[in-house]
Amino acid sequence: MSVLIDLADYLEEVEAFVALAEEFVDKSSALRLSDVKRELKTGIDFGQSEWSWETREDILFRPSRLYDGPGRTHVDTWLNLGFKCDFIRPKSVKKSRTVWEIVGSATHVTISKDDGHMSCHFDYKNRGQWGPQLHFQVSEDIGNLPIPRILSPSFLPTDCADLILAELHPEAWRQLQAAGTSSRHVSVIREAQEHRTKTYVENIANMWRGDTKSTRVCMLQNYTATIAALPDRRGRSLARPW
Amino acid sequence: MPSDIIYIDDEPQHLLAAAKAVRAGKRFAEFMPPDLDGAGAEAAVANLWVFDFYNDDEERKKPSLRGTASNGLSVFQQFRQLVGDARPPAVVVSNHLEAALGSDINPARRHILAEEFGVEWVAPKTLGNGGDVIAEILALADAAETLRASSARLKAAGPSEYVAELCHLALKLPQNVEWQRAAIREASGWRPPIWLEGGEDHRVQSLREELAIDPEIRSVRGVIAWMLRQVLPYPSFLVRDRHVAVRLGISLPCLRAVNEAASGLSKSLKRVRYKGVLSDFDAPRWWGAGVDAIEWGLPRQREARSESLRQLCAPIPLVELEVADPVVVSDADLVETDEIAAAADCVRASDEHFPAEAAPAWVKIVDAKQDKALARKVRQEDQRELVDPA
Repeated sequence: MSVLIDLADYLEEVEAFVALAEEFVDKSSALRLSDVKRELKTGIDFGQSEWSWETREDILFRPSRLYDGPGRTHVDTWLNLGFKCDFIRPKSVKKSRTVWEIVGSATHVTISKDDGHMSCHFDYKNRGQWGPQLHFQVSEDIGNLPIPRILSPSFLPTDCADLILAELHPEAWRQLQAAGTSSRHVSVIREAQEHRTKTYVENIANMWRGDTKSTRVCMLQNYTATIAALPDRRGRSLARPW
Repeated sequence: MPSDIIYIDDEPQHLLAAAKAVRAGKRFAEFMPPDLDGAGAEAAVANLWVFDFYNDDEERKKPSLRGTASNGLSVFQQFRQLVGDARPPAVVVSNHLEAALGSDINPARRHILAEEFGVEWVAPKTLGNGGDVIAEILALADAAETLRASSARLKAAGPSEYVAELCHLALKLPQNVEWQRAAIREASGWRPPIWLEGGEDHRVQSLREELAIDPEIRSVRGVIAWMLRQVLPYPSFLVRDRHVAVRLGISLPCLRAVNEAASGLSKSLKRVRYKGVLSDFDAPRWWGAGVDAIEWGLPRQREARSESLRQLCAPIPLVELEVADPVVVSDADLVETDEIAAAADCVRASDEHFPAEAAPAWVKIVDAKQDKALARKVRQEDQRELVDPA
């Protein structure tokens, strides 16, 4: 089941995230980052019934050495991130609204250092696949294997970037979030993520309650959300009629 | 049109001749200091004040603290006393701006010099044989007239409609274009000055009785100053052709040739060209949201996009930008040049004059390494690029 999203509301989150993450992006990708924000705005303004929001070139984040554990130092390790989100406005949604259905989303991430790289992606699964609807998966380039697909409620590009930055720059990313000057941006992202994640957690709990026989983890591997619309960043459901 | 430009100069012939050459001589009411009788009433309703800086050769040759200064800024202050804050935009002209300011003059940073002078604009008096200065002066007076004519609607606009009204009435944002909302939002992000409510007249009683003022001119001046100091000198919601080239991925010479030719792209760009107040001020500009709309209509796939651009540029052969992540390069004064380079070869820099909304300038790493003053303007996170690896 696909889910509706109010992109004007998500745009606020994207703007906050871009402002927060700006200094973690390599300068060569500074304009790519602002392009991402601009393209989402333009897409919303144009209001086409079917469109994609995507990076044309991957965004390169600045490298880190201290990400593994206390006292462990690596060589410079880089993060590349690109994504494509496909939106369709269902017939039931008025054209004046900024609400679309997410019909697919894929955020590709490559983490690399001089002696190797690892590619993976966060998918909002297409219908021809098994496994959790929202999942993290290592690239099939490694071993030509499409599994395992691991449930991940982080599927919007900003959430995926947050997830990786939190590991690649553990200290600096948290320090920035704690800084007073970041508080407005952080609160926008935090509230939106919290309400979104809660919706999925409750949805999973409901799914578990409806099946007393299967193992819980096994059920997750076949999870398809029954959420009609993502809540806005204040936790409100999208008002009907769309 | 009656006189709407007050011009104070002991040698006004040159500029007036240039004004007459473009049939604008009657717009000037000129006064020669120290004989300024009668200037007050006209100054109170004028669209623009223009002051020559040096009205006394002796003052220029040997400045001193003796006697009463008669330079343009002194006269400007006298005029200000007459009308208080309800004054139109003011321009200081001089062929000796360096002497007047006591520093080097970079024509591209005149908005900063003007701010230091406490006026809205400065110009060398006989720049380009006087023609260019006249074009600037007339553009400023026209802008004030346009804003004055729109003042009732701008004043009446509700808080949520004000920026849209300003965009349509003064900036001539086309109606019913699909990028209209984006353009208004972007303009709003640059915090246009609000249109002031009446306010009190703080002049002395005798002046209040003697000389009527137009309180709307304060807001007129505010918008013009905003355009001159923030919107026009930096890539804002209005951009120059260099940024159009970068956004579309076309080389600047190719874009300029395309613009001169009858091509599909030149037609599209014509529709998003900025035609509002001060549109002819220092090179043409385009609505950034309009350029984004053109860009949005191009295919996403590289080859299909190139083919589409090729067709749009025809009959001019398409020359795409070869560099990755192209940026417009600025010089040591952070003034943009026609050079476009890869972001990897540049660092970001700004100074205290950059508006908060403006993106940092891009300067070549090689330049910043050789110029300590420029290096100090480079952003902290890019400073490491200026250090050669050990």
